[in-house]
Amino acid sequence: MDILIKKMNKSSWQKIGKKFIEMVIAIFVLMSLTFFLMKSIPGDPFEEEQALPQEIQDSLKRHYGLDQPLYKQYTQYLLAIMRGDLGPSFRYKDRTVNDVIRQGFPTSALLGFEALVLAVSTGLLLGTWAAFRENQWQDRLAMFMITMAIAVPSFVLATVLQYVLTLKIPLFPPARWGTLSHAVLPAISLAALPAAFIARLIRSNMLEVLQSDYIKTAKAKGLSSRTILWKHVLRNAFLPVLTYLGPLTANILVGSFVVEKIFNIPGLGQWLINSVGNRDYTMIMGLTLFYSFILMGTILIVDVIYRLLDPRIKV
Amino acid sequence: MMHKMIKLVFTLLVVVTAASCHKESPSQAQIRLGIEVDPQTLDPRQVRSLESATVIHMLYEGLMRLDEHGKPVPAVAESLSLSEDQKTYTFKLRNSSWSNGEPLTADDFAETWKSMLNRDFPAPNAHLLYAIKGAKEAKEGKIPLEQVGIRVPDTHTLVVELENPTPYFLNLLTSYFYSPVSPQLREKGILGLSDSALVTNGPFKIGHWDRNSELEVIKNAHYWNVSQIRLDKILLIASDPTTALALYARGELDWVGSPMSTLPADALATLKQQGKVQIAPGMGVYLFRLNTAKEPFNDARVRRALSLALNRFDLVEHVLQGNQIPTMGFIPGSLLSKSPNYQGEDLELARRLMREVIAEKGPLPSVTLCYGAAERNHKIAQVAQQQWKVAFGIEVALQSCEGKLFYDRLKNGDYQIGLRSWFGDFRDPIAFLEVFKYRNNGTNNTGWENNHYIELLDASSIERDETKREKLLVEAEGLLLAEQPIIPLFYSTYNYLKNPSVKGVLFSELGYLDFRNGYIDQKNE
Amino acid sequence: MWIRFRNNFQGMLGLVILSLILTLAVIGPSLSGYTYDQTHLALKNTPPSPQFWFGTDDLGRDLFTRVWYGARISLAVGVTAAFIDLIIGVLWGGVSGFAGGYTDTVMMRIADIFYCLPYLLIAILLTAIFGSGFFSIIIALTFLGWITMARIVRGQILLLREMEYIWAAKAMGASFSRILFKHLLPNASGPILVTVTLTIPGAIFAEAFLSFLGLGIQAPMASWGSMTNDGLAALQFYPWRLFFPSFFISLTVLAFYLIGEGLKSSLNKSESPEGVSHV
Repeated sequence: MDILIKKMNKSSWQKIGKKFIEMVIAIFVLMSLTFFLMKSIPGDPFEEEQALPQEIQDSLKRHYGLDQPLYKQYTQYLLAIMRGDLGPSFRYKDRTVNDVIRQGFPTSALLGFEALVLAVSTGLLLGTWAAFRENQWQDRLAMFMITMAIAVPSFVLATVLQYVLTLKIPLFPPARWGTLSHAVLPAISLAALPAAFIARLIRSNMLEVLQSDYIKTAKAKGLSSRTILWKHVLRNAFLPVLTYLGPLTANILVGSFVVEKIFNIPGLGQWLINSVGNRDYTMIMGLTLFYSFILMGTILIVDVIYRLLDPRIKV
Repeated sequence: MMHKMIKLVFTLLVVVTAASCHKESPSQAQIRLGIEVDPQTLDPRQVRSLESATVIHMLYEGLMRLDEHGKPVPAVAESLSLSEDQKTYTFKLRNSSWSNGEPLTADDFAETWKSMLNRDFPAPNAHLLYAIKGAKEAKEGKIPLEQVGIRVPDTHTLVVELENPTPYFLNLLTSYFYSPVSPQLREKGILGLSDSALVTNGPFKIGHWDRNSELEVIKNAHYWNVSQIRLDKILLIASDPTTALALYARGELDWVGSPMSTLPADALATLKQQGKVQIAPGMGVYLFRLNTAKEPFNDARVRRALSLALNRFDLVEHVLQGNQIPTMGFIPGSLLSKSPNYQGEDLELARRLMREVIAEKGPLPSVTLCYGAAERNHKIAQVAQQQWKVAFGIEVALQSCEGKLFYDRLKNGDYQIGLRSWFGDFRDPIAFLEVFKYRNNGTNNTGWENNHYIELLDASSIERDETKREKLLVEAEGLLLAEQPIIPLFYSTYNYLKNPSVKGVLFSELGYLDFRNGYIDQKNE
Repeated sequence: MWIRFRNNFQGMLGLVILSLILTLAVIGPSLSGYTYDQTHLALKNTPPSPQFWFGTDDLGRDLFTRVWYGARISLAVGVTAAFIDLIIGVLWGGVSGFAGGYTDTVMMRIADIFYCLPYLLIAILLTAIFGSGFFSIIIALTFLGWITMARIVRGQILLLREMEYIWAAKAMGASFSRILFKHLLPNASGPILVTVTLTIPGAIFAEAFLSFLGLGIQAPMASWGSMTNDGLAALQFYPWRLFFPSFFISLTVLAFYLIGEGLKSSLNKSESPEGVSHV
């Protein structure tokens, strides 16, 4: 790791700085787009199944400034964000957006981290194993498992796991959050698909790399298998996986809607979907901002790692 | 190196997750409820949703409350008197205090209600205070708040002047939106108070609140009737409905389903067979709203035909399975001394009417049934579609819409048939009939208005004789149903599972639970 | 190439399975004697029997008929969406990765912005504009679906474009598009095929999510995805409602995977002088 850092010189830092500014601009464009998108869909935060009299709806709109012209709402909102104030939730009157993120993110992030570790390690191991036993029964078995993991979505897996391993055979708690045993089933549900995809990518890339000339050269030179594996094969096979890993990390860390819902995990995952349904404008904007920071941040980090791992690449 | 990394990460995980554990003390008398969504807020002035109502009733107490027969009895009020003209109530408050020990005064009530009537305060239920003289004008900003008919002659007397004699006013006072809030809450607003600083006056007060996970309320030591309270705490645990069922089966929840959550529809049949489902009557009606401004529903015969062709019994028996009450009427039966028996489904008449219309005007234009995307609505719509297909051979198209999109379309009249319910905010027929009083009142959506209907409702609001008043209201209902801008389907019920050792909990028709007399029967545990 | 494919066991097996499913999708609904919307309320939630081969759902409709009716929708939607995602994604990622520099930055930033927009918001807006129907659901599905493919392709291109044979081709004066289409993209076919097998089930389930919102097919029509959603809630009580749609989704995904593997094997001739083989 230290070798990698040393490789970075002044121009590298400049490049990273430039990328950071690009990120900020992109986020600004994103927020503006989201704001106008949000305001153009029909529906307001206050209309419910139990209809409200017209004058009450109007008074609520007035209180929250929703009757002001759009550009005014937009500028006020931007100014508030720059102060770090993401605003109060329109629906949950005793919470601010900052509160919600502060309360929900650590839980989602922890679960996400656990799932990521599981996915990457399983994917790496499975993919490598399959690649080294190409076309033998182990390979075929691994590929079958992988295909099934892709065909079964996380919410089906979560429900089935919950039913079988908590109701039928009470091995784990069915829901809620707190101990490691609470985390097992949700993590597996989240990790299955990414693990399968990573395994598949690794296997595919590894087989390619193993056949390539410079590997054959290294073998001919007499380098041991292990050295070959660690130094060359894994690094090159892993690179494309890194591209996938960036957005995956961001998505998993901010929480999955279905898995958190099924297992009653008080994370951030359900908030974005629910807030769109509730037309909770400040919440939508705040969560989008938060999510985009994480996503673009991880992509930035992935780009940097990409350059460090393979100097041939000029990003 | 890989191995070491894995071990390190694993240990980290174990340590971190083990550290965040909640322990329960089972020796206390407690009830654990499953809730689907967190309450919107603990400020009763800003609440509109049903799940919040139960929590508000735990934390706050108003002038009156409903007893086990559904009759209003004094709560914070010790006694009351009504003037000759039935327009002025005088309440004598008992000596009671807030959960921090400070005394509760008549001023608390007066200032709370006035704050809701403030033009700029976001109170979704402000219109339910309009019975009070000048309330509507104050909310519209036409008169200053001082002129609203609420007076505080001394610290424990509250005088309320009404616009008209309002026979259901005491009923209204039992609702959560008439609760008093503490001076601190009035001053700082709910965002400015931490959970522990929230001061309330009801049988319970807030313990801790892990958002979206667990809300705990504990016995309020300063409640004026604290000796009556036999529960130490109540836990509200956030849970998805299917998972809640699993938790209940494991004994980790004592109450699942209505009013704070729903029982999964697919589980109902089995649960009913096992005799576990409890059913409580509700105060709501599910109905189709018809857009009378658009073809073909501008013709009353078409509206009537569609209504007569529906087999509501099948819908309730096989699809909803919650013992709802099929109906062609609008006002729930428990609100009337004698519920008029409306003629039931009549396929023959329906077909005859339809043939008449088609003979006159030609084949029906295409009809679409709109509904908000939800499992229950989905089913109701599909059943109705099939029944109309069998009855008339017409193909009614279905359009499932995202929730708010749907309400918006209804509001703008951009629909033909729309499925939407109505729940009474208080126990009186007017809570239902008012919905369709004016074309543009925001709750009607059908474009229907009838002057005689308006006259009847206005007459009922000044009628002092109970029997005569009911007669006027029933006549209005009859008029509404004869013109049929709506097709009522069924009266709702509340379905829930309850641990048999939990007793004494009142389930109000209005959809909230009253835990004042709740207790755990140890023998059954 | 077809000869090579025909001799490939995996590919042929996949093709056979897919053909079976397609055939049943076409003739299945007429085999049972029921229509997909016919309700038998009193016979709801019955397990598979000689009368209802796959059992009935919560409104008493024959599941066999509905599964094959749903097959049409899911297959049509899934394949179309995956195909469009493939085209857009490969082009976007390929151009962005090869062009590099400012173009690359802008293109990928646009992709990032699209990706971060709240998807539900876009879906609702699309409903409001386009209403329901096949066209609108394809738009909603492909709106974001191309981004993963674009990223993966770009990543691969970044690696490949530094290879000597590319420099050689540039030196020889080959045009941008020639290098991209003849040299770079074929060498990226591994990850591309892998990603496509992910997109098809993704599209099927995204469609289920959207149709519940009112975008796309309306009740009583149902796709495999929405039937799976429906069956989930009933897992404990009426498991066949979940089993059949999920089973056939899995089978279809397996079939596409096998076909993909067969394709890869028969594309085994490499393009580059380095002899990088495709597996």
